[in-house]
Amino acid sequence: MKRVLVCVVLLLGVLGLSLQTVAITAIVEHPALDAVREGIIDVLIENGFKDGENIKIDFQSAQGSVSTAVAIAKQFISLNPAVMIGIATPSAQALVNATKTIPIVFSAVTDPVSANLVPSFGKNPGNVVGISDMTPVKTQIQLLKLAIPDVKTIGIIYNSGEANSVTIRQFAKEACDALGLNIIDITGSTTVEMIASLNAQIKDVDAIYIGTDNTAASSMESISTVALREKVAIVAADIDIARTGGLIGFGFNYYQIGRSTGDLVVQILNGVSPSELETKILGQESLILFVNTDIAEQLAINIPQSILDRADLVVEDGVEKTR
Amino acid sequence: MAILEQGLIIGLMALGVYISFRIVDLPDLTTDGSFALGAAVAVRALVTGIPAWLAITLAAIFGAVAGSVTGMIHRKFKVNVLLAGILVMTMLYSVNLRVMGGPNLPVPRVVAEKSTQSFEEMSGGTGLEDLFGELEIKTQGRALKTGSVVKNIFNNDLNGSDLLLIIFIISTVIILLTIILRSDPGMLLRAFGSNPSGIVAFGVSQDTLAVVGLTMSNFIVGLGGGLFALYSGFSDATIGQGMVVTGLASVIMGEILLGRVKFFYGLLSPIIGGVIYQTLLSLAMRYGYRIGFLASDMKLLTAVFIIVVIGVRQISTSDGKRKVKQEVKRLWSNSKISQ
Repeated sequence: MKRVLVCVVLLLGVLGLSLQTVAITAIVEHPALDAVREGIIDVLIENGFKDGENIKIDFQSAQGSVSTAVAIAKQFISLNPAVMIGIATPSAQALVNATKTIPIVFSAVTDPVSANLVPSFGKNPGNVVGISDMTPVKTQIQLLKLAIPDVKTIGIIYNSGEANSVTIRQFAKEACDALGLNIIDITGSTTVEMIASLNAQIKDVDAIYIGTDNTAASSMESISTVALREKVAIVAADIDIARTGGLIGFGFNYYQIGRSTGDLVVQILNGVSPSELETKILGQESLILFVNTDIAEQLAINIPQSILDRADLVVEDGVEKTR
Repeated sequence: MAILEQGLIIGLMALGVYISFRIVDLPDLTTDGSFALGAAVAVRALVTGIPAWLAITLAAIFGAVAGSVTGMIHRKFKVNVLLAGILVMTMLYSVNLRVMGGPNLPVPRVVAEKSTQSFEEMSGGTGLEDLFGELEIKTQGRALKTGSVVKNIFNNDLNGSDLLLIIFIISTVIILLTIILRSDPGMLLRAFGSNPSGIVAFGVSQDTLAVVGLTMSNFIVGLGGGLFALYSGFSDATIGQGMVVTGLASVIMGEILLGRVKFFYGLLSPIIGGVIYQTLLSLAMRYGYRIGFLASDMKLLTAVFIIVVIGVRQISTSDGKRKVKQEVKRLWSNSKISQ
């Protein structure tokens, strides 16, 4: 009986359905990556591509597992989709390694060149194109130094298991070297490890910098509690991270990254080849500068008027205002 | 075809699990780590310019070393084999990050030169430059990373050549394994698995056999990890997560399908089980979302499946066998009536 059952299941697997499909996969689900997906789907709808009507959107999350990401990629291939979308580095890599013909659009990949997704930014031959979420690390460090002139040592909180964070850490190191700042790595592969190393090293740092690290993003409540207790300011590359107890945030809106990705997807659905499209970062107009003056007051930091003048979002007396 | 290819590779890894869990009867948890180690070593070797064949051999050898370390910790320091495996697996997480030089290492494709540019270099600025005055940082030219042309053994174009290659590797492993396990020392190993204390009568050290068993198991797991990485196109720090359970599930599925068979066919059960596991996984992902099933639920289902199978075996071998059968029959007929 069991054997018959297994055989039936096997047979079913061989039979596949072929539909005009947009296949989306993300390595994990968290607010920033979910915003990317929403942006993509909204742009598709605005351009007349509706799930269930003229296209079929198939979404799979690898839930943080790389081997699941690979399995998802292989399974997507069998659907022969019109276009596949990989959100975050491992998912995009899995897709790119699974096919050389089906168009692939990646999104929220910090360093697509090092990840071997495309040979360079701009137009590339082949079936891969996408949007990078490379963040202006140098400017973030400069903002930190401008807001806190007497800063000597910066602690960088990241998970050395995240490829994007390793690249960002490298850029931060270069900027700090140029400005004569010391750097201390505060790393952890899990939330618990991260908080433990933060507690151990917080006394040695004058300020904290956080890139677009997924582990740090999910530990922000604890990180900001520790930092505020020790009167250490946090500057972040992600607005959502900065909103949780950060002093300054300067980075992209992930929904916008999703919308730009959606534009590429629409063009491919309309018959444009990926080799005609450019792999790019978002322009400076999509950058958002966030400042929390309540935190500044708490830490006795005097934010220069020049920064406040340019801020897009300012938190004052517990209320966030758009400028 | 892709499912079959990936399933066979998972099956090869499961063969390693079969050796530790079934043949030498040592529940070895090193697998998660040695699978990732194999992946890391294989890709690192390719990046260094070592040919792919040598790269997967190295992956297997490093896996074997990891297994022997577990074996030594278990026998020499009298540490429970589960704990020894967990210790080595934990150590390997750090080792793998070192081997890869980072969390994630792609198999180099045909690339010429490349460089990682900062946002400011690519976009021409952030529009905040005027704020900084003397804090301005001049961007200096970055050294270009030079990649080399590396030939992967897999071409991923689903024309059957990858499948043949995988089948060839698996056949070689199984043939070698059969020869080894049918030889006199191999017989001792199998005897050790079924009756560890009985082996003393032959004047052979149990320690040696345990270490050899774990080494062989992780040799194959490392090979599987190396193949998986080359096949997937990259290695990642988390690539080995849950491999013990996946392997065990494959072994059990294969055993259910094949039933009681001769020793040689027993070696095939994890391979067949791996293919079935992969098929079920992709089916679950393909159709499961309609009932709210997520790919992430597969780990839960896998573990529950193992528990159920073990539970059923336990009951069916005990005195309660007949009673359970009657109970099932009764429920079955009841359900028919209610329909």
